[in-house]
Amino acid sequence: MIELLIDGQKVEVEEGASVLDATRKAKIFVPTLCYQRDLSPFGGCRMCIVAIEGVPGFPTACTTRAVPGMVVRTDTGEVLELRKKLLELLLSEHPSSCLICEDRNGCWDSHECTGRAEITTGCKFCPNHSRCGLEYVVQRVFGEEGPTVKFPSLYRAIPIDRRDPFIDRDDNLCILCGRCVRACAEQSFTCTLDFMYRGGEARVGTAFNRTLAESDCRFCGACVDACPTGTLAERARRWEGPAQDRVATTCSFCSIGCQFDFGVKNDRVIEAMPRKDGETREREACTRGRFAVVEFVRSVRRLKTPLVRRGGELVEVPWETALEAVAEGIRSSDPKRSALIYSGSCTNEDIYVAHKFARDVLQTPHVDGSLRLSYGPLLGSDATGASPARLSDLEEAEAVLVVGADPDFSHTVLALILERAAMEGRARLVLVGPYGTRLSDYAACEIRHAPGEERQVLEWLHKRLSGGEGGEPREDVDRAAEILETAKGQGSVAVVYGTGLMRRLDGAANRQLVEGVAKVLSAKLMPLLSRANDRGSIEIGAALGCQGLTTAEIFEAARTGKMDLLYLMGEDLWPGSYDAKFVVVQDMFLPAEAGEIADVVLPVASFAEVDGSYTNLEGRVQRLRRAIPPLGVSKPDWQILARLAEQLGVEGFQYQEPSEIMAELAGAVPFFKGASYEALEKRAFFGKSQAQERGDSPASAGSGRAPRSETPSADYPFSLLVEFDEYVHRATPLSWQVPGLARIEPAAGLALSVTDAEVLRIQPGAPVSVISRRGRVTAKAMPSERTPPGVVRLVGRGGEGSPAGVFELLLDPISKAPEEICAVRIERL
Amino acid sequence: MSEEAGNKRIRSVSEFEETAMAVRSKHDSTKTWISVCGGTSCSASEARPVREALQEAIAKNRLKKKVGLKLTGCHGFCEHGPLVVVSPDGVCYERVKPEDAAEIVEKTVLEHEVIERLLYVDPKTQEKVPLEKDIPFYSRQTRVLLAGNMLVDSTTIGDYIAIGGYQALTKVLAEMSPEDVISEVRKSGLRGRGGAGFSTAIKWEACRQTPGSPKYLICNADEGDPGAYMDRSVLEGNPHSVLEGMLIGAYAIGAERGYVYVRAEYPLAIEHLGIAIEQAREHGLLGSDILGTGFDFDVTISRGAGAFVCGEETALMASIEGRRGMPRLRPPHPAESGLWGKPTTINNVETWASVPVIVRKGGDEYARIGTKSGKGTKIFSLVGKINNTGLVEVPMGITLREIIEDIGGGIPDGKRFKAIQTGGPSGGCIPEEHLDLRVDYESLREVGSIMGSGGMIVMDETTCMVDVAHYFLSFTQEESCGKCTPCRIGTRQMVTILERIKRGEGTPEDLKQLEELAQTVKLTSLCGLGQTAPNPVLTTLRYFHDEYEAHVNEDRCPALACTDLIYFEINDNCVGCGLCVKECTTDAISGERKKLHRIDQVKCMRCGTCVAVCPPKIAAVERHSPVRAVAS
Repeated sequence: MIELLIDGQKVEVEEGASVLDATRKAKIFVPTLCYQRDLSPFGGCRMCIVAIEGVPGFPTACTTRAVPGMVVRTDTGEVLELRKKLLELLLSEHPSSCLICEDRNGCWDSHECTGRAEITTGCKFCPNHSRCGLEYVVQRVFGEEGPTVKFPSLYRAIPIDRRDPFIDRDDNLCILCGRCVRACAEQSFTCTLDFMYRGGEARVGTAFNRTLAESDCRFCGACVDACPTGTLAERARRWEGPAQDRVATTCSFCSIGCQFDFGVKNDRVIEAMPRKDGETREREACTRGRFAVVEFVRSVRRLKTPLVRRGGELVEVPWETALEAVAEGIRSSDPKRSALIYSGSCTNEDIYVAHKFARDVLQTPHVDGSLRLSYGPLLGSDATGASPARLSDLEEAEAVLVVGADPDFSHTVLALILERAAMEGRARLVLVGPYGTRLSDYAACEIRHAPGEERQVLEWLHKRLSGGEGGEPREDVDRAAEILETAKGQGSVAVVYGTGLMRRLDGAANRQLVEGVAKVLSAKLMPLLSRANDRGSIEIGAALGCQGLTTAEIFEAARTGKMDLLYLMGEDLWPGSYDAKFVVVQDMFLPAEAGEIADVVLPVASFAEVDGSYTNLEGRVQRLRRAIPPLGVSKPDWQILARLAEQLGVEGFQYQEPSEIMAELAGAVPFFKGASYEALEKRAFFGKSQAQERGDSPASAGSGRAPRSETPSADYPFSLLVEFDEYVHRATPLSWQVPGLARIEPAAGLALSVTDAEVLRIQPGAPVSVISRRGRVTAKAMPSERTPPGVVRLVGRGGEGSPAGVFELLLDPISKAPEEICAVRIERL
Repeated sequence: MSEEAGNKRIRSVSEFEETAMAVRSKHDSTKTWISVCGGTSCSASEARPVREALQEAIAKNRLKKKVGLKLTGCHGFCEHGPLVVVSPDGVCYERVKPEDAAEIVEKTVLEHEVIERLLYVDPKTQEKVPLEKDIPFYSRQTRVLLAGNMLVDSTTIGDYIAIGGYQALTKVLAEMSPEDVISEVRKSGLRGRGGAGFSTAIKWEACRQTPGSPKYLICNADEGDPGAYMDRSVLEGNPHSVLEGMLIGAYAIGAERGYVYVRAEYPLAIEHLGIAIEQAREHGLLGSDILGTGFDFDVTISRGAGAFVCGEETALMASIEGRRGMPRLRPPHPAESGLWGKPTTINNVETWASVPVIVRKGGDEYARIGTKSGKGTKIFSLVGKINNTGLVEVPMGITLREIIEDIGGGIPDGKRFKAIQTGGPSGGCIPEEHLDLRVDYESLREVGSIMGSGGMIVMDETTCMVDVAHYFLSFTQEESCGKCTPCRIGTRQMVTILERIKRGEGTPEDLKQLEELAQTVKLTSLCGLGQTAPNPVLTTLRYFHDEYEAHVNEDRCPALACTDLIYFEINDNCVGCGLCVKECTTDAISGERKKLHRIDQVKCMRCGTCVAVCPPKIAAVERHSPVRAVAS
């Protein structure tokens, strides 16, 4: 510990602390503008200058290390005068009319609506009003009298940059504190923003003044949150002013479950701000959580009232009518020809009630979740074995093995953890997959293989790591094994795997193998589940079981006229024609496919409008908290099912609050034992799987070889992978409701290697035909450095024809997960 | 002479000594040599056509075997170029044209006759001075570093070896330990020549002591001060002297890699340095296992891209690393953590060039020149309102008066000295009362200026000091990196105030505010650029406050320079020749032939063309200030 004197007060701080840290500890006010606690110190604004005995001039407190015995004064007349002069200089450039105006105090409280102007000439018209770092410092430094700016205004009259989705840039307000530059470099690692030009022209911008979307920007919002002024502002909340209320909740867009504060005003969600609640060093937020929430929840296409199909059209009806229509449909259906499909985006409570509903109300064995389609091999038994990984384990590992996943897109926050660990030299990344991803830039070693070859690669790796012989000698496998073994010796290893392993005919076997690899490395294991509550889906499904048809089989049955009742809770059908007698859709938006044939549509309240809980991919159970009243007469999933049960006279569904459901759930599903809403308030709750209880890995999932994936041939020389790179909530791709996302998510098209494109003479953006034995689809060609020759990938939706027509539906016989690999040829159109 | 040095790699110190002896012994002191100054200034004039013409003349007279011709480094007598020196007689010709070449060969070379019209005329005595060594400009200097420039063709390593080059290096490699080297440098009292004047020995010692590898050496050749071109001339004219200094420094510190960061605006320096590096490598004097001693050191040229701030050492290092040239805070100092976080020593061109001299002479001997706080010589670029514009190398302790009058030859056109600005945009203007100041680091600081990199701009009665302050401040404001508030916005506000004052819109309040702002910027800026940017303003306010007051209170510019505050009038010297009417850019002058002409004040835009074209014997156009209503 270091002791120093600040304004005569003794202060003790840790080694390495700055003088500013010491002043903060002593609660002595020193103004700062360019300082941000989680960013490296900059020393550019000069506001935190202090006088230090024995040091000439006025050093900045944020960049000066505390030294034992230092004598610091923050309040000498000279220091205070200089600070005021510096602020005056800033205010001569920054539109400051509202800070200088004599009437500001009265104006502050009234005239809220005047804050809707195009150009910011003063605080009242600024998107950052009342939340502004500069405003705050000016008020603290000048107090009641306010500043006087004796200099002429140097307002730069730069046009506002509105070219990008979500973020507006108004350089007239910029004080060049550099926080956005540092946030981008240190929290997003893309360095999209930097200082440009010199002198009076100096500004912050992108290389060649490109848009953020054209540059490397991840749209994570770190820069917007770092900006103390209104320079970088979130467009959607520009005119809202400060929030009236803040509700702590969990993000519903992926299985990481970042903690957020929803800002609420007048019963509307106006912002989603990341909370630092997690155990990791990362700023936990990505584009979707940070920017898509407001628009998604507020979308005009949301279902507000129940709908019933009459005369071919869907018409609005009151709840009673809709519920009776559904009840009638249930009564007239054969239970063995009824099915309920739910989504991994639903809460634990929703899913539990759905299982109960299927068993007691529909009395059908056919109940399954969409998770089956991606992580089928995990269902029915313990998801993560005896050693589940937490995000903090990824931070601490010496090496991380990533198999069959592209977390940079699908789980940005997790990718950031891995990227930071690699950049800081703390961990070595080993990647296994059929094509390169952004994470490849940080990898110590990559194993590239043909699509469908995952099982073989894992077998080789397992052999190498167990010291076994045999198998084809492969340099990359040997290198990977070497790195992983070294890491194991030095500390710990973590293994992360994704749909690239699971959506395969060998999915179940792959799962066994990856767990075997993890065991040999004494590594912790993490499946990259997609939806917010996929984990809850697995655990509840494991306990309550699915004894009937699985999701893909249900779709097939519905297509071939073998289904009487199809109940879709938060999921959509695959494209195709269906022949089910009665279809119920229960969702926030009308799904593209099922919406065409739905007989009854029941409106579901959004994640901002309900209470509940999610289980994230770590097994952490987190609260979803209601921030605003439900839209229209929409209701939570569980409540709709409960009302239906009541309608049909079935007991056991009299829930008033979701906490009651949780109580029941905790008793019925061993994973949730001990969970309750009170418990969730107090501390982080981690469910325990059976395997963890027992301390061993799950039983074998059966042996035998699955049918082989289709391999390329002379007529069909390419291996096609279909991976819809898009974020989906319930049955809707986010980009359908939030156009900004569509502009920045990977463009839809066919990714192929640059060499293949050259050989086939295909230009970027040209339309091509993708043809298999079974069908064809068109797409835009997107040559990519990251895709190896011989492999092509259909990315995103778009183009003509449905990819489903190109494949033969093949399911892993054990896990019933579909695989989407087939052999194709490419033709220029 | 490279042929004489041989093209093969020299593998040991003793082999080098043999080679050097061979080179020197081949040097025939009776052979006639014609040296043409090839520095940028003379090259921008007709130096190269002169050289070509001389070549032709030599060939025509079949003298190729007897007469040598070389393009040398900058001689420094730039006002009087193109310069041609014929040795061994030592005759110096100035302002030579290609047409003169034939005569030079036929008369001076063959007949040993002097061509009067090409000789320097001493303005004091009005006498012609035929020999270079007698020209006061040269004789009053102490040319320790620049002497080499005049003797070597910098694209030929043999020339450098012939005058004793790389002997300091061999001495170091053969006889001295790294500590010995630092000890000599300490004894010499060498202080950095780039501007800060920090003790070179202390810097080297700190870097040597810091653990870390690899260590780096940097030569700061960014030379951004307007009017300063000393480093340019040394790099163009004698690049090996810098390389030798860096080699010795690398040995002392334990560095293996060096960078020379040269501003992109010095193409000739970059070219010659590149050639020198190549040749040094070929001869085993640079690279791995230098002269077979196991000592490794190699140099890379890193080019600037037009930013003054990249002369600041932390910004320079960022630039070499490929990042934006924005200074960062120190500590840590480069000796602790510099290029790529490694211990780094960064010194100016002149500092490096002084090192071989110190090693050859010995530190104590070197310290005999100069004053207590400033040892050795310093090259200054003497520019502005001075007769002998050029590079002067003088011992520390010489007075400003000697530099200006004896070496500089005084103010042209009979005008009066007003001030001398030293230290570039970071420095200050020194008035007449301090002309007897003995130039060194401390004395300049005491009067409010700094030594800086060595620029000296002489100003006379026609220079407006407000304009000077504005000029320098505009420069620093444009070059500011923008990182810190006071430098970025403070200088901009100061420039705005000065512009208003120059336009006659200034008030006494403005002067107060200017002073306050200057203090704020000086005290709170992050780096040296901002901390010293207000100096020109502060010194001009200190010494020439009356000029500011005239601008502000009377709308008058005493130097008759600020265009908004002056007007032109034709007096009765006018003979009505009509020259000004023709040249006037706005057709503002009217008048009949042989009669007094008149300027229309409304049309006149004070460009000064009429003043320039009016024959000097007549001088009928007068400047006046302040502007008063003139009947149109």
